[in-house]
Amino acid sequence: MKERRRSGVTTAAPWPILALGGLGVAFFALPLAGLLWRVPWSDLPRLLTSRTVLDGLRLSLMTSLAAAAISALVGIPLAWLLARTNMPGRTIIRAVVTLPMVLPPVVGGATLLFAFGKRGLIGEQLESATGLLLPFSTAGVIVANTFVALPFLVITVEGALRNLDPRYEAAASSLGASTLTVFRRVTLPMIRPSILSGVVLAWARALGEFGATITFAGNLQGRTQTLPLAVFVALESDRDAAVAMSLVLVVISVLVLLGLRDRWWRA
Amino acid sequence: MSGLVARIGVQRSQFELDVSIEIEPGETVVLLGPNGAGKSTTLEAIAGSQPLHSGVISLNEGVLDDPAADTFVPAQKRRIGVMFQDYLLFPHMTALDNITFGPMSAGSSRAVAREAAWPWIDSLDLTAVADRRPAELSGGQAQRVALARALATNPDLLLLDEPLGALDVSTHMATRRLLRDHLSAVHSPRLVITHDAADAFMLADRIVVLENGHVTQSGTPEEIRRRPQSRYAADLVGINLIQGVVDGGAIAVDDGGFTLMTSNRSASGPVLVTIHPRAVALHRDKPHGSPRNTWQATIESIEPLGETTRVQLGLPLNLTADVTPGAVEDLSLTPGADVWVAIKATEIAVSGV
Repeated sequence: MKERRRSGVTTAAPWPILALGGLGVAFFALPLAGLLWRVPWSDLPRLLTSRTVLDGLRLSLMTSLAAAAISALVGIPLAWLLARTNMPGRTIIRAVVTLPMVLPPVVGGATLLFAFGKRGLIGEQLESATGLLLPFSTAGVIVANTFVALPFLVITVEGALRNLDPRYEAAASSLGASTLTVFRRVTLPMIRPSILSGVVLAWARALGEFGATITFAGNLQGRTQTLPLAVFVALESDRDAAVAMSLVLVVISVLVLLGLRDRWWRA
Repeated sequence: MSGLVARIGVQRSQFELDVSIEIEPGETVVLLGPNGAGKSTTLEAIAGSQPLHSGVISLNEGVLDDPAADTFVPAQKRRIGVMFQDYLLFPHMTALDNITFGPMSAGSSRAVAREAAWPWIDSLDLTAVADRRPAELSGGQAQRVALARALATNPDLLLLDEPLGALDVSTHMATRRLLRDHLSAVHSPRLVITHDAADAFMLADRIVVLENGHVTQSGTPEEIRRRPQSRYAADLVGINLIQGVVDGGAIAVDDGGFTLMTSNRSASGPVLVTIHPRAVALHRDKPHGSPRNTWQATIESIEPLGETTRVQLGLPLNLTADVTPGAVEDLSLTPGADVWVAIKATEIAVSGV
């Protein structure tokens, strides 16, 4: 905004651009208006404090934040390996890592079952080693969320690393810093804005996750039924509750977008 | 011997680097050469980011790189302080944190590193800006922070890559003098890399001229000034640098004893005048027509430099002129003879000091 004011140039938009752009705005504004129009405002307090909604909200926030945290923990080192080393098979690894972005989430959930399910590739070993049975558990929701969220973080951070002038890291090692120190004290702080936007993207993707979760973790209220799953169920049985929960998701998303708009969009 | 002993061989597809450099403790050697001569590769080889293909690099008798013996010490283990081109100060750290980065990487606690950094901050006049980020520093301040950062690790060798290249003309001259003073206080060997002849002559105890990957000459600034052994070196040392005061296109030099006219009418105040030796034309008789600057001068010496002949002119203005050997004959130039000197006003460049 500041930039536009400084340059002081305003161009009159040609009508075809205005019309098509306006169509795009309407495409997003109308569903939102439809939602607001259907909100049973007077009944809202009762609906929002129902067991289903509170359980779903708690689960959604907890699992999406956990998925974002795990994505950062694993995704930043992974992005570094992809951007900064000559690891063999990097192209294949990158393809595998970004696959969940294009894979239908239901298929993603199915592949998780084949790997970590009771009769999956390593499901039994995992259970006997850690006592953790992932399918149909809250941990399974986190796994499904991480599966779809991690690629967003990896590609954001890898892009930032590729844009970072490698001479800064060379300067740090010439000052005697070990590779790990360079990573911690120079690389990470210099790509901080991108890490932040990668985490937010991953978190947003996890919050909206539906297909992989329902396939891999099921739809058990209080254990695996996140808000999007609860909305889907309520659409059939209690439309007012579905609207109330949708409103909650919209409000959370808008608040995060507003809160991060400066850091995120400047980066 | 202690200090740096380097015989550097690096082969690239289109390029071969073959340089020998020796620097004693307390000595400043300047590696001078045009762009693409191999200066950066030389620096990278010594700093440890470019492994040698042949040769040996040793510092204080410890081998850093010897491909024949399969020895290679990685960059972070070499006790070398580098002041990078554009300085590469960490933008997210204060000046002080930049300076303590090296000692802390070597294991010092923050408190110890800061204690050790203060003498550098003091002597480089950075006390007032120690808690500023690089973006808030002037060019000269950033350069001194970069120097302090390189020196804070007490390196056995100091490398400076185009140390004055990032400065604008007005701070360049003053900073160059300061840098020379700061360098002379360092006990380690110093290697400066530059393409700027004026910087080289100001900073160097010894100059190594690098062209096309090979050393074409090496010696004290005085030796190179007297007997340049390549066209490149001859061009560099022949450039006439004169101090003066300009006003409305008229430059008063020699305390007003002589006036040069420049086509640059916008400059005013003290200036450094540069005149290329090939822009100084010599004539038997008083030239007619366009040149704004003509006068009569006595030839002090004539020196053949291969394709050109260098003529030193005496009073009223000491100037170097490069002419073709044919012209020397045509004009029958001899030491002690008088000639007419002509320089176009457009060939007289001025820059602020």
